[in-house]
Amino acid sequence: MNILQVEYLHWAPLFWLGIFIGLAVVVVIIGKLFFRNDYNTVDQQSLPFYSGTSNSLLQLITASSLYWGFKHTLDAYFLMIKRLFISDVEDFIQWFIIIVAGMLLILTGVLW
Amino acid sequence: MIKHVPVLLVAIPLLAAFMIPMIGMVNRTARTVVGVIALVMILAASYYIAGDILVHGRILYYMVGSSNPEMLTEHGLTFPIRIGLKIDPFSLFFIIMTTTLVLIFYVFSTQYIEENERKNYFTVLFITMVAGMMGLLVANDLFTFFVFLEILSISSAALVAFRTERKHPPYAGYKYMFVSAVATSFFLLGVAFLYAQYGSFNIDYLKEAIRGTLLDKIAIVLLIIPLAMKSGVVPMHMWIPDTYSEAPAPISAMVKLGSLICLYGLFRISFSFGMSHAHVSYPLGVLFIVFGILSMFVGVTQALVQKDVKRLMAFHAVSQVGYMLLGMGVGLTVVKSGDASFALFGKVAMIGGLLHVVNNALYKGLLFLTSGVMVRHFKTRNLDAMHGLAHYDVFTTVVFMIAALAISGIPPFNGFVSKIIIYESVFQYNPVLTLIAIFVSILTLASFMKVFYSAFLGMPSSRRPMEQPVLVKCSMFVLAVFIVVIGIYPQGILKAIIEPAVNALINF
Amino acid sequence: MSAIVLYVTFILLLTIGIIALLFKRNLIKIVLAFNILDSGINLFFIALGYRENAMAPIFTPAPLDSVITMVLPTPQALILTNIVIGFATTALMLGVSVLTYRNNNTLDTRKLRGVEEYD
Repeated sequence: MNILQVEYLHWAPLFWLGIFIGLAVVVVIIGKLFFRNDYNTVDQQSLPFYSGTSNSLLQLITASSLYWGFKHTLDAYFLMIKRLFISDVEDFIQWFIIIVAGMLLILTGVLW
Repeated sequence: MIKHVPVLLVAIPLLAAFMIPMIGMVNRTARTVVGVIALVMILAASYYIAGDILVHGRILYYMVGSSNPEMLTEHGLTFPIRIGLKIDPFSLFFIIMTTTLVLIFYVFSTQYIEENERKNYFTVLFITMVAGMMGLLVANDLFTFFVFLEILSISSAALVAFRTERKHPPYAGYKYMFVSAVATSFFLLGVAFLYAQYGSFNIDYLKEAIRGTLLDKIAIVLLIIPLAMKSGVVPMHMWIPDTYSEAPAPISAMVKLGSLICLYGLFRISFSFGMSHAHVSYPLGVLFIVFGILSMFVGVTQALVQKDVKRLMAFHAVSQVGYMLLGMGVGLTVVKSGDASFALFGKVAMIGGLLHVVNNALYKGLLFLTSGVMVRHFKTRNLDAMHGLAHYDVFTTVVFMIAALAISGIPPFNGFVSKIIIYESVFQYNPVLTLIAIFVSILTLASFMKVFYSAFLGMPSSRRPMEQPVLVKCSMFVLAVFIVVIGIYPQGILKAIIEPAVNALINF
Repeated sequence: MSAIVLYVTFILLLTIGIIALLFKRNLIKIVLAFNILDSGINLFFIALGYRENAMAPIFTPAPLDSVITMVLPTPQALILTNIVIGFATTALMLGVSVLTYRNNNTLDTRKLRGVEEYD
């Protein structure tokens, strides 16, 4: 196979960028002609809707709580990773010795 | 003149590193200018020989100290006895990448590191690191390789522990020095095993003479695993987040470049010594693929849940090394297979892996420099405490967006090019590997969206906006330009530099 | 017979060094363990160049055609380099340990972990 030439798709990102910019110009022109003009952006209409009773509407969601669902589902996996890979100095060498021993056994044909 | 370039590439940074403390005591601007001049000189030297080597296919040999430096063996002997240096298209690819990036990082650090932070020591150690990198890349001799690897490790560890008034950087420097020292000691043990059998250190001589006996296999394992540990292959990777997060921002980028150069050593040794017989290259290739998949997956899942911005980027560094190992591993597995599969997809996988090296150096360097600007602005590394940088620092926002889209593999940036080459060639070897690689790419995008959301979007913070110095912006701009240019027109760099590099690796 | 003693000593030093690296928690003891490991590897290299009933590789004013066997000089020259590298490494590691103790008041690796993990 040729690099970057898969059957019929040739590498031409400038072409794609040109098409994208052309479509964007067309959308803007149609928008200016046909879309509504009475959308005000300074009223309550444009603020995000938070359900529940919180005092400040502009509450900040911190970064460590962003993917909590993903993390909660894979809690067992993350617990295993945390137990295996501690940042202790000796554990770096422990993994190194394990991998050297493993690869010596595999490559010299004892295990595989 | 052109025949002395291999030695000049090492000698000029060493000379500058010894002159800088004395000049720095006299005049500060002169010290910066001397550093820049030394780095520009090696950049010019590497581009000067690039035309000769790539176009005519010449390989530069240099035996240090002999009367005729270009002759490999002395008169009347059958094996080489001096320290040998060699530049062939594979080293030249790394040399060009290193000299360009080191100049950009040095220009960034001249205005990022404050003067009262012992900038003399910083400059000396930085230029010594450059000398170590250059020596590693031109070495044709296993012991020269080892000595320059130690020079690189010692100066990097001293630079990681640079901010000595805080609690964690000295311990991070200790960890880095310890890991490097043990790794290079085991490397030396592997060199000793090869020397015991064949009596020579020269890589070219050993490549002809190696036979594949039991001691050879032990030596190859002992040569490869320490270099893999220094590059950050799972499961020996936990020192990388501890080290990258405590170092100052340009030093994180330089240490990342150092670990890519250890990856150069890994590929050079495994393709020189491990390619002799099919029963050595096949298990080695499969092990590379396994390490690659493991690095990609564990790296990115550990990165997704981090709160510290530099630690997150360090875990991504671990994950991206997995892509390079995957590409080169597929190439190594099929290189001696006898049927047409190497010409069909193995060589293309290797080309993708090598292109990913230079792409990774570019966008990872840019990400670390941008994180330095963010940390300088918010005075903390915790993502929970950062919000709203996009309101008054549009330049950093655009540059970070370019780098984050490049690392996730979004067209038209350069990450997409190398990733799609790796996906398509690895798919023909085994489709499951491509699925895992695409999934890891999606998780990479997710974690960088998290960083972008929390640091750049949101309410503007109540601090006064700080204007970044000119050279800081210039260096980030140059890196972003490289990313966009390689993304839009990759055929130039693929045909001119990377394909001769792969040919040099598998033919000689 | 003497060559076997050297190789056995090398294996002993390597084992002691690796076990001490894995199980000691004090930072200074880890530096000492690394030095033992380094000495072992240097010993192995020099023991490779040993030849039976040979003399040191120094040219003497003996006639050129007399049969003298010499020990291999190449590993000896390269081990000098390695000893200097080991010295620089030890100096850097000890210096950084002093800084760690000054900032954290402890030298135990279990207590120094101090990294804010994600939980």
